[in-house]
Amino acid sequence: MRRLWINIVKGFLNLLLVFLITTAVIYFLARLFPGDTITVLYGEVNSLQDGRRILEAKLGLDIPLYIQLISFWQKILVGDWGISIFAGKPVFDLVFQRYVNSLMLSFTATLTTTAVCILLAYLSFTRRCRRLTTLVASISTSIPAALWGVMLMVALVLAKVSIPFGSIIMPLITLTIAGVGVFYTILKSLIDEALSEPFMAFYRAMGLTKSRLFLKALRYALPMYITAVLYRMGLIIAGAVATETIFNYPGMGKLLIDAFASRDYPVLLGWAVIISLTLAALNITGDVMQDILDPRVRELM
Amino acid sequence: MFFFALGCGEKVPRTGAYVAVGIVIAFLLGLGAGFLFGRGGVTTVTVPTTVTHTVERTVTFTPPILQQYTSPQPTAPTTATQAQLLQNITLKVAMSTDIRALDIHFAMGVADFEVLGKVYEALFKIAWDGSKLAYVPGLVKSYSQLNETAWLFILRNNVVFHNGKKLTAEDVKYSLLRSIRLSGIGKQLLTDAAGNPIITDIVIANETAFILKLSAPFTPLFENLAHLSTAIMPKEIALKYWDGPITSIEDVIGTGPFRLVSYEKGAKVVLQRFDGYWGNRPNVKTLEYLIMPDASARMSAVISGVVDVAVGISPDMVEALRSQGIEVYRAPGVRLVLVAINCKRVLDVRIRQALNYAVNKEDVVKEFMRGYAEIATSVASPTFPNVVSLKPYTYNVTKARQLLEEAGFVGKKLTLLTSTRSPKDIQLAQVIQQYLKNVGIEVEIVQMEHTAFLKRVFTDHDFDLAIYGPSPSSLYYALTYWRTGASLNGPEYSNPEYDKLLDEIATEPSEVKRVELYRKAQEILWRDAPAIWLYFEDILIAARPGIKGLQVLPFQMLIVDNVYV
Repeated sequence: MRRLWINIVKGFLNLLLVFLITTAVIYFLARLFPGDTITVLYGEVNSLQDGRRILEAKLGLDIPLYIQLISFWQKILVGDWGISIFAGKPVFDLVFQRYVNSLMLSFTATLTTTAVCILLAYLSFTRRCRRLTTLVASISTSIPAALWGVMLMVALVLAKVSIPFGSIIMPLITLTIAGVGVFYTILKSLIDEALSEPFMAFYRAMGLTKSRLFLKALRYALPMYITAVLYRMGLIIAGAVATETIFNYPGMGKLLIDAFASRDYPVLLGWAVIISLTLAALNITGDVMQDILDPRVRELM
Repeated sequence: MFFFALGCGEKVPRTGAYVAVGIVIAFLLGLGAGFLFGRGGVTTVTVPTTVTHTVERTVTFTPPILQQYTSPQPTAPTTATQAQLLQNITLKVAMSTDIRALDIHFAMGVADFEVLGKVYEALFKIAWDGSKLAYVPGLVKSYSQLNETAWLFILRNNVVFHNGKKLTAEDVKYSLLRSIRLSGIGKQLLTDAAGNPIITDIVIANETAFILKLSAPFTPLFENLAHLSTAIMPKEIALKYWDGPITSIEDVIGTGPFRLVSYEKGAKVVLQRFDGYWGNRPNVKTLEYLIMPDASARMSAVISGVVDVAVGISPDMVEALRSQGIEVYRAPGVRLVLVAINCKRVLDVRIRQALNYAVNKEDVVKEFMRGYAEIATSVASPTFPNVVSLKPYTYNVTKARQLLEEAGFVGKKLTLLTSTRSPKDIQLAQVIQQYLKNVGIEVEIVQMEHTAFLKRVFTDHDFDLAIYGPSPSSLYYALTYWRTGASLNGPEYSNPEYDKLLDEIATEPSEVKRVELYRKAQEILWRDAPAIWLYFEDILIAARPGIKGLQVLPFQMLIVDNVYV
């Protein structure tokens, strides 16, 4: 029990460290990038020295960078995420709404991608339509998600179907199509690997049906597959920028781009906080899942 | 059960490093992708535009020095008949960029003026008859000149704000003061070359009458007061946000035909018809702006009927849209696309002229813009009063080479800065690169994120050549961009004779003489060539065929006043 607690504390400290480092890196990067909030506000009209000073003082941009960062940390620990410079709303509300959207997109896209992949893998396993599955996989991998989005859109326009901008459907389809290729390839190679293991030969000798055999192989492939999928989930939560932009989906990617383009530092930091925590959490989940699903890892501990 | 121990013992440091690196990579990837996809349309660097509503009548408006003007009687008789015919249309418009701020005094880009220009009004407004712009009274009913430096204004007495309060001279006073204090453009418009305010005092005579006292005679006063950056808001709001931009949508209160109902950053802005509007009320009841940075998404949206109107249509989309039965409106634009030449680095005027001769503007307009632009033969849009057409720099490689040789500018290299906000600018940079290569100048193209670009060009002046396109609201304002030390003077052009002419224009009471001074100033600027003068971009708007009566101002602003279905 004692070791468990030590590990929990360690994990927590680890999380804190990750959070401090990421927010610091992102804040310094954003601030060192040429142009600031006031450049955005005043655009090309810049001779306004008083205007700049008034605003800098108001936004707290006139104090040294590291103090700004420290005061941000202090505030965030008591739950004060600050207020967006442009939207005028609390950062937490803004970021949280987007976060939920991205989380939803990420989960559903992962589910649909996995479902399609398993279907394809099964088809290929039963040696049916092998050409088709390979074709689907190679087409899917050869075109990036953004382009898939545009192609989908053009197809819908030609079919005179009204495009649901702002809804989850289009980004979901796009990300599924774009994801299938890579994950099918991963899953297939894992299943092929399983098939070459002696235990599969044993099952075969036992006379298991094809579908039972497939399930066994799938079970073997699962831990590795999940690690791969979790990585992509993290990326989508952090922002599927291109897809979100094309279909006007209010996710974390658009939030990041908008916040950066308008140098809305509080929002940018809010993004960094929530994403760093999510990625850390996903990483831990990955480890935990690995432990649950793969008995060998468990024994090693 | 060991695996519940978060972090799993010795794995801790690795996990941390992994996540940190992952986030940085994700961040950078995000940025990269943003540059690739997070922009769209033809809209690029937009130096202040001004816009108000046009009236359906041709106004020949001579700058009213020493004369009295009373605007035509308000539209009371028509409202009765109009009320019966009023339709309740919901108009959805796809826009390429989000609004920058909720505050009209911080408005800068096309989107800001498009949206907030429907919510706010200024003392004067800009009228458009299809070929020329004119500056006519807006919230002001009448005015008269008291002496050389004092003007008396009377406000319309039936104007109410969206919060139901009546417009008074107090509101005007604090709005103007706030504009001069906070608004970048407001300050440009209402301060002189030395940075001193032009309006020294605003004296309130009664509820609807006030006197503007000026530091010196200032002839472009009315055209500058027509700029929306000097728009009027209630006194309480002006004072509440005395030090910074308006941040709450409840405080976005103007006198315009529409009021702001909701704003979802990066997604949409919704306006609702204001029933207490003093002028003619439009048929459009709900005006929804959807923000769609992706050009093909805007195109798809208008074709599939998700939106009724799409702005920021690029010339190469026109054919595809028309073939799908979409109407494409075209109007001359005030945005002058140019390649600024840093005058501190390219000192010799012969080199700058040579660069102008080296570019074939006819071909650029014909091929690159597909004819949807007008070759610049003036330093500001010919739609402004007093703009003169000047002797074009006709494409001539031999002459360009000869001038470069005379100036000893051979085998040199220049950098050309562009903003990544518009794909069109980057393509244009490549075209320019080719032309300059033909006359022996190596050009290196440097692309920059938009805000960084603005800082580099207008604050640091660290560039040789830069592509952007100012859209001024009047000829005088356009000319002040090039005044010594002006903040919009990116290339740091400086000519004392030119500066002196601008001062004379501001104080010259005789109109005949002023026209002559305007001509001289334009000739000097054109000759000194602080930029490669390229073209005036046409404004292209796509609309579904059912939408009738849509009009477009040269500032890329929609006029929905007469829209019906």
